[in-house]
Amino acid sequence: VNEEQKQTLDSLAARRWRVAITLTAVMLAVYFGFILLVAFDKPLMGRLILGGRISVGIVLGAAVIAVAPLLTAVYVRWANRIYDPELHALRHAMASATPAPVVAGEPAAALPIPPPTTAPFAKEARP
Amino acid sequence: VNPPVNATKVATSLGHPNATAIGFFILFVLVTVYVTRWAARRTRTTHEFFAAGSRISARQNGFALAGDYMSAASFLGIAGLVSMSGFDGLIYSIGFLVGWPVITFLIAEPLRNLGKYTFADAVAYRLKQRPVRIAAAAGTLTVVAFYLIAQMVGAGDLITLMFGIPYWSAVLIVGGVMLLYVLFGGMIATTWVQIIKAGLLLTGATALAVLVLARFGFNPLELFSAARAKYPDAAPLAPGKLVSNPVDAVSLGLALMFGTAGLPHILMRFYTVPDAATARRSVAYATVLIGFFYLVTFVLGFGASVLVGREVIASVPGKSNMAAPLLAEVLGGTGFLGFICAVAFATILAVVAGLTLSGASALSHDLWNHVVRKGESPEHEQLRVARIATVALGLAAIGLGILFKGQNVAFMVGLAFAIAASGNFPALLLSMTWRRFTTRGAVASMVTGTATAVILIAISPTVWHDVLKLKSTAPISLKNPAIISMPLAFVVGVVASLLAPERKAAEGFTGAITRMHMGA
Repeated sequence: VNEEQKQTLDSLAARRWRVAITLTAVMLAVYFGFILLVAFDKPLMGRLILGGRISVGIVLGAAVIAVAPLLTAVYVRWANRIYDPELHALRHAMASATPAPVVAGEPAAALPIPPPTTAPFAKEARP
Repeated sequence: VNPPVNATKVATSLGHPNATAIGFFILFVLVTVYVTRWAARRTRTTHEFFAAGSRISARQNGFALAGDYMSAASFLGIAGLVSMSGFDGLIYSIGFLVGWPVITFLIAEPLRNLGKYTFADAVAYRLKQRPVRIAAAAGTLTVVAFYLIAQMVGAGDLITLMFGIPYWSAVLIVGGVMLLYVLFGGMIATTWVQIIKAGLLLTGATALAVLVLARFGFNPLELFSAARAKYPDAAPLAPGKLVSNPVDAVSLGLALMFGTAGLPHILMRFYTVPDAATARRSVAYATVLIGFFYLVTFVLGFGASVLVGREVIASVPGKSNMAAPLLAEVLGGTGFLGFICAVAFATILAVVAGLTLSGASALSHDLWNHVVRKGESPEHEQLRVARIATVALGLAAIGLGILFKGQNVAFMVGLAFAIAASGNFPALLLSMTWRRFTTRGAVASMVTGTATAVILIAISPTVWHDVLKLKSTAPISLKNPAIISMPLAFVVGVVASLLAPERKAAEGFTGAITRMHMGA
């Protein structure tokens, strides 16, 4: 691995952790915001809306349930569209560099050329 | 609202042997045993036994993850909690869901790339193998033990109530059938049992919710207002007594959120897919399925509250746990009741199988291969040890299930989550993110997290009063230990690492970064 590739990987890794930590923080804030509202403002959460047919608490609770898959979708989209292609390009750059790279303590075969992205899903186990 | 008891007597066939229930259950067992036979022919290596040969697709693993996570306790328990206390049940559902995005963002991909069969692989990647493996295996087995006891006792109780068979025979059936799956079919069979079970549970719960909503013009708002009209004094749409102490609420929230990311049987599933990108997509599927499941459960709880009635639910043995089965009987007759009971039985079986396999992987892969044999155990020997460990764990599960009969084990699932959040999660996260993390830091963090969680639970009001029946005031008032034990595990891990730096561990981090992102 040359110095430039190492820096590319480090910055890509740092970006992934940044995105991951930001999204985790949003999930934490939403969830604990909800819990603390229940703990400290029960009258607000119990307030009836829409002609008394639902409460603020249930609407917010359903919203928290919706936020979890939405944040996940944001992350998966980012990772599929930006992170994966950059990683793939880096893999190619590393694999085409001669000679075979040696990573600290790892055998030289640690970084093989990955199979095409469609291949791993073709062979699915089915009873 | 306290109407005379005789006015609430219900005609339910719950608790009597039910032909449909038994029929559906036998059908489930036949299908899953057939799948196990098919899987057994494909289980020749440890990679197949522990990780299904890493050939499971994203969608399949999404269903299997959901299957591992959606226990009978969350289906019957949360529907019951919602039926009796309305809004408060929603707080639990949300807690159980929000850990999943955390797994997606922080854990799934690096774990998949660093490890092979257990989460200890990832923790120990650049650290000294033996101490880390021993501590991680201890954490795994503690979580698995408490989770298993809760499942087995719940299985015995529920199946006695629903099928009318004796407690011990219910425990024996669950233990015996589960052993068949794991022993012969390993992870391949266990994965497919989870997928089938998740499909059945989601289908059954959704069908029931559709029947409920059909009574209210497919408008949930009408359902909610009917519940409010029926229980005007109880205010079912408003928060009740569940969250009275903010510290307890936040502590429980931490345990649920980060405990999910430290459950060994969940983490193990990420090795069943081919690569990190598939692992990522599989958690996304699981998150959607589990979120949907809890929304459906919320509808079922309100449906039971209105259509069955709180007095009726409180009058049957098993009380609120029977809210969903009773609702099925009211809406779909004995046949539908039987189907829901069979699904609950199948649910317990699948969860117990997943737990046993993860315990076996800790015993065989972490303790036998890496600690006793220093990573040099030949393939056939590892497989034999894994099967012996499976049988031992299966017998232990049956024994513990019978031993803890009639005991209050409800706190044990909460304890398992607290241990997972304190013992497993901090060390896993630190090892994957912090260059200066050391072997000593990892061991200290895992031991401190697990021990603190167990001790604080033992002296909490729950165990002090409800389990030990002691009259004196409990030494601490905290119901869930995570707010103390999880931060403590992080602090101990960091301090122990800083006090005695480990040059090799820090140097190995560069290789770990490459591996974590690029894969093997």
